[in-house]
Amino acid sequence: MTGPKPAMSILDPTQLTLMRAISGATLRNAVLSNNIANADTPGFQPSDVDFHATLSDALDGGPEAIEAVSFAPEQLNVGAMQADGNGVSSEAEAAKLAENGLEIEALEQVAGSRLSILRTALGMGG
Amino acid sequence: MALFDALNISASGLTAQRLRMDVTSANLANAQSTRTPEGGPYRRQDVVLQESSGDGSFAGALSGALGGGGGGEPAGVEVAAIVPDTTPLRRVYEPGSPDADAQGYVEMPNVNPVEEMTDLIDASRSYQANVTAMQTTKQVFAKTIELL
Repeated sequence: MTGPKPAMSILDPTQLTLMRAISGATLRNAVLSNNIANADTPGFQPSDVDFHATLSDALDGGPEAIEAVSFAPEQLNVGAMQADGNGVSSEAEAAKLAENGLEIEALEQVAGSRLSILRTALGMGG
Repeated sequence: MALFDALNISASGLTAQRLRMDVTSANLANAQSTRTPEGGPYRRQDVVLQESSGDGSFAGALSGALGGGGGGEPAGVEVAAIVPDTTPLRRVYEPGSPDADAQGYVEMPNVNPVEEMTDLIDASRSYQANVTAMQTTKQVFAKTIELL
């Protein structure tokens, strides 16, 4: 991008960060669901998405880095939990999934409140 | 990464576990079958699961075409094969049976009902785990849609 950046866009860095966090948590939701679906696949090792760390690194790089941030699942080599070499603990995955679901809801609550403030400012009603 | 990937992944888990239950039921139902279309007594069937690569799916192909990597993204589970169990058949002394050999022994299927019952419970619990994952995802997505 060339030229000076506008002092403030409609979607400020905080809103952008919230949205990126939601997309990271959504990917994590899919990855954790995948672990549960593969709880009986021989030799399968679970994966997880550390989107907090990725986002936190991007935050140090400014708005452009947040805009460009992308998340990737990482395989956790936890070893065998079952005789067939599978490393999935269904209980742990279910707990992580529930926790991640609550986190998405919390992020959406905040993102939603900020959007409704914007709507009010634009005269569109809350 | 589509919004409904997680639901499709859980659905693949449901399909796989349902098939395991079907195959286990077939094993139990045929625990005494001494004749099959292929000849010989019934052999216990085993389901082999593998992690799905997602290459064959529409979403996987689209993501690859858009340069989204395609690889590494979770795509659920799939049934690789249903293979016969090659452990030895049970030999039961039953001279009156039409399938008895010269010594009066009948070859019975290598099905152990206790093993099948534990497999059945295992598959049904895994099915429930996938249902729970699906419910969590659905609840979160419903909240997302409320935002719009």
